[in-house]
Amino acid sequence: MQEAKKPFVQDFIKSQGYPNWRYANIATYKHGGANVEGGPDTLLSVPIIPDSAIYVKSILKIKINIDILYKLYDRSLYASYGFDHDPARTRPSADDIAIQIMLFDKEIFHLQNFFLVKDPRLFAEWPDTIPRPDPFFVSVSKLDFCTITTHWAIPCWGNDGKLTICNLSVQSSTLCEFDDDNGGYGSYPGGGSTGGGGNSGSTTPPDPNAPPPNQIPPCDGWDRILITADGFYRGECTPPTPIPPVPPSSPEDPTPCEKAAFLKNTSFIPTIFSELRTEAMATNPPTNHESGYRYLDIGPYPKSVGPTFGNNTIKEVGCPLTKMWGWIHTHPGSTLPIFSPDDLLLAYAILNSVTSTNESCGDPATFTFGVTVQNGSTYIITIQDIGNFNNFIQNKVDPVTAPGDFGRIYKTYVHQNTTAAEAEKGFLQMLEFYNAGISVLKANDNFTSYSELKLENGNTVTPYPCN
Amino acid sequence: MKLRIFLLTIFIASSCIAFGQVPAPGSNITRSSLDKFEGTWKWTSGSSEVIIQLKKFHYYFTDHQFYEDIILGSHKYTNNGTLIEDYLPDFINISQSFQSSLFLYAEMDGTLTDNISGDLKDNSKHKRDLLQLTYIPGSTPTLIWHLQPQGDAIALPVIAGVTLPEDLILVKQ
Repeated sequence: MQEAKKPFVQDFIKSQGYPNWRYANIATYKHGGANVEGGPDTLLSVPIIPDSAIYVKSILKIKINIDILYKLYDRSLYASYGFDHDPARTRPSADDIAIQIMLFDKEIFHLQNFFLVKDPRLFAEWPDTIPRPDPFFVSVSKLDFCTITTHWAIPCWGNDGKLTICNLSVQSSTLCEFDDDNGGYGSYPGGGSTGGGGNSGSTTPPDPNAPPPNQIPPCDGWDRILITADGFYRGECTPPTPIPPVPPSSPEDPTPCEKAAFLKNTSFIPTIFSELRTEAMATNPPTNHESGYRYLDIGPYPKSVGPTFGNNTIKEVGCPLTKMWGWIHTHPGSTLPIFSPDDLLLAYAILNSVTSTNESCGDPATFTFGVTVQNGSTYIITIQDIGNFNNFIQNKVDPVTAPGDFGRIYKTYVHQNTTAAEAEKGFLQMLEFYNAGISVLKANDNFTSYSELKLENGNTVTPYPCN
Repeated sequence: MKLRIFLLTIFIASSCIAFGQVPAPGSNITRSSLDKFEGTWKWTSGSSEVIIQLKKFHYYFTDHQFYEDIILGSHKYTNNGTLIEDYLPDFINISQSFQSSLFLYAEMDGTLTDNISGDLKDNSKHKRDLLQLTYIPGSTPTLIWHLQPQGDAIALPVIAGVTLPEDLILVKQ
């Protein structure tokens, strides 16, 4: 009836397109805003696709509580939401709009998961420690309803001949389901959206001489990328371009200090490292179990607490849902004052595992593996030559593939009763002897800087501070 | 006399290598303290049984080019009448290149002569466990057996726990 008086649906379809309900997301949540007394809100996110088009033009957010409110976020108006990169932001930014549109585009049209960023204001929070690629791409992955990771990446060809992601950094700061406290929401029935990007509809009759609607999206903010079989990518608004070559990895790239920069520059790292160090150093009573944290670039997984010594219920440190950036654990009491052979095996297992989404569990280019010991020292190993590391583990350490004498040899290099200095030296001598492809870093007291420990003349350990 | 001093020097040099120090290439370390561990040892409880056979072996550490007396051996485990693992048939074939399931050694510095420790092959869990044996002398000598995982944290394909019992007392056969 109301539709007959004021053809909202018809106008909406004409100006925006059809809602694709199959790919709509639904969330129920309670926020601290206007409806806090009214129970949880239900928020629908519905992709809107113009007739005959192969792109998502906008996202219709429908909020259902006591009222039904809606708001339209239009792709072409992303910039009007601003470029706030504060992780604590409560209103959607241009990045958030872009990410949601990209996700829907990827899901609905089965696109390659690469988007060429054309507006330099988008995804501008590139870490200082890694050169920003040019051209600059992002890919987006939805791990669960509220976890969307954005990979800043360049596409490249993997050793297996499949398209993969190179030179990536991961950023996951996006709003789960944005709801800016009713700002700009219109109500239905009876009105249209008035917020930024809102669209109140139009009743202008169609022009019979107008050209057919565009099948491809506007391209001013980002460009969807299609990978061709001959190794080129083709943007829908960009001429074909060869996929950037990936520099071959070498033992020097990146350096141990460059890998440690992540630890130094990531705010949660000192917190979890300090917590573990306190456990490792406890003497009254001494801690009688190992503990550890797996960490991503965005934060740690819940703490893993090992069994009381002598209890064989081991804590498994399996590959988590997504790629690990590292693992840090304790050696308390009278355990080894540096890494054990089993630690090396664990690092090997992690680097050779895959996540549930078939992504490598750890990337040697970024992976760090730490131990904090009873004297308060915290050591980090990095894998500087993955080939040598794999050979070392498979031929010397692995209990299935190697002879059984490594445990004996290891104890001649590192013994649990040696001093910290002797343990550092013995461990480095062992790594050097086997050409194990591993480097060792040591943290300062407050985890704000790291030094690479190097063995000089086979007998002297010298710390080289990372800049 | 000079020959005696020379031999004594060699003996001291070869048996008093401190831990934290890899024996020099060409070293030849003998350990008479390991003799008492040789033989067959058995633990029985109802229909469960652990049998180990141990022999002293002059092992050559190829990478570091030195010899040392160690203990190599095999084990058999039956749990409630079900055979779980049996490496005993391997025992007669033990050699430098075929080590069977037990690789045990004394402290490098020669102390704690009644203790050996090392690896027990735990194939069903894709790892080696840490085995410690303590010799208790007597009219019927016994070995105190303590088995534990090598580390607290593992990742697949390694499986948690140990297959054999953790604490036992084995009797010399």
